[in-house]
Amino acid sequence: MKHWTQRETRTGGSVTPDSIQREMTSSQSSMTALDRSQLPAACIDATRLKDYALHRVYEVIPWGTTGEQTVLVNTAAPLNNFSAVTYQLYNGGWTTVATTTLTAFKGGSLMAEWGGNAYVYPASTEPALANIEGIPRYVRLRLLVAGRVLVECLGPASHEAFRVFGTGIFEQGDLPVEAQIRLTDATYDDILREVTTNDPICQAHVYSMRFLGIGRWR
Amino acid sequence: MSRINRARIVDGDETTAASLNDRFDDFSQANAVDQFNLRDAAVDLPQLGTGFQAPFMQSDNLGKSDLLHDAPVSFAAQTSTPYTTPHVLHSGSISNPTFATYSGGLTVTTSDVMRIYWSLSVKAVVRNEPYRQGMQFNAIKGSVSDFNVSTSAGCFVAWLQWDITSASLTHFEEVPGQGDFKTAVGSFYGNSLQSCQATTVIPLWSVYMRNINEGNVNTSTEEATAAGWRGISGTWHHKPGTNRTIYGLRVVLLGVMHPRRASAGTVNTLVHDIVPGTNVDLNYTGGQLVTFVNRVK
Repeated sequence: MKHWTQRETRTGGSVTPDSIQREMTSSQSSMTALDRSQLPAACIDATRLKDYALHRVYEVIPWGTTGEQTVLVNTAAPLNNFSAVTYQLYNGGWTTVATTTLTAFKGGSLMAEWGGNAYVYPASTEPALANIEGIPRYVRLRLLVAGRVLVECLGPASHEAFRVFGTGIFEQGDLPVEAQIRLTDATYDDILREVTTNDPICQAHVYSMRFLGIGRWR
Repeated sequence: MSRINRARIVDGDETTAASLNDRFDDFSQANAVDQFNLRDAAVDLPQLGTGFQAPFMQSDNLGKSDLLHDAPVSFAAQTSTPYTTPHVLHSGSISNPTFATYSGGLTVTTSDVMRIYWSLSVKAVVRNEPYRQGMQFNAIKGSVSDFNVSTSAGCFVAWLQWDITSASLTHFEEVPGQGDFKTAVGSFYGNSLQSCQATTVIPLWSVYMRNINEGNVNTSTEEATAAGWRGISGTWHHKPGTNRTIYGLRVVLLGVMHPRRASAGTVNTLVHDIVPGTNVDLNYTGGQLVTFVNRVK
């Protein structure tokens, strides 16, 4: 509450233009230059903030049309396999399986998480000519934000759920996010086909994908 | 406009009630304090109340607290299809289910996103090579004879159900984006993967073949390992289209599941494969379910 700072008028007292003027001037000068020292603690609640003033949550579920990766889909796989990644399709390296854009990111801290289920076919873990202990199969996972790696992990080695998350400081802008997978490279001894139909065997899949990002500007 | 923009009072002016009121009205106008009056960075953390980002957080225990796994909860895979009821996590007695409840109901508004994180300690118990039963394998060319090599895709599924009806908690149903695994897929029952948005897959075994030679397997070199004790977890988030009140949230389980398509060209699904069911149990102990409500803006 604003208090009289010059002279409080009282009943029976005389008022001159100057006495009012001084008070008004005092009030006006303080009101036109409010700063944090004059604002009470915890005076601002959520209803008094403009949207996205402090932070913004980005959420995508399902991530992709069905929550599945649809970049590498071999429809010739056996019916008891996922119609998904086979080594006949996979060229190796990191492959983008889902994207989104963090619209109007104001710059500052970003937490991003990617959840879902992944499957990898582990049968070819010990090819004969590898002459080593084995080649465990993984669906490696990483999130790119504005082209830079936010988080990267070894990923699932069987049929299981995953959640990868990371935090970083990013610049202002509409930030592109990419989810990428990378399979263990194939060897020429690997099991690639079912014997009775010669159908290509599913080596991996990612599904039930969801994305959540929280940008915090200050 | 909030700037006080009125000419000064000077000697000789007549002071009237109207002129005073006009001047004080300048100070009391709606939205009087706005960007014209605030210095840059005038608002900072001390001026903010609480609850901007996460106005609600709650943690609930799931399952049975048993750090040493001395006496875990154990249940058998369902063997009827479509199944009757999924397994509801409990503390060792079916009469004592464990789930999250929200006193008076938790209202999630259109300005919020509900975030769920849960965890559980689990172990698969397998007998009689279930990984080569039902639809759990691919036939692979053998160096001596062909061999059924497990896909290692056999799994249990855990998913979320909520009660948005009343605090009596008698009407649990699948959360949005999640199916109940009772949709017909050819001669089986399950969910399209699109309807698995709140599903966590629990691995049961991993099978590989040693000395694979140009894609041919040696039938004597199968290495099969049941999934031992491990921590599994699930995540889910939901931004309601209209305000939603939730009274309870729980995790339920079903197995044995396997990938399947009804026919060539149809969508990927997870279906209930009951053939290996009598040979598979799932043990579990404890975990937690954490509920966040986040403001989205």
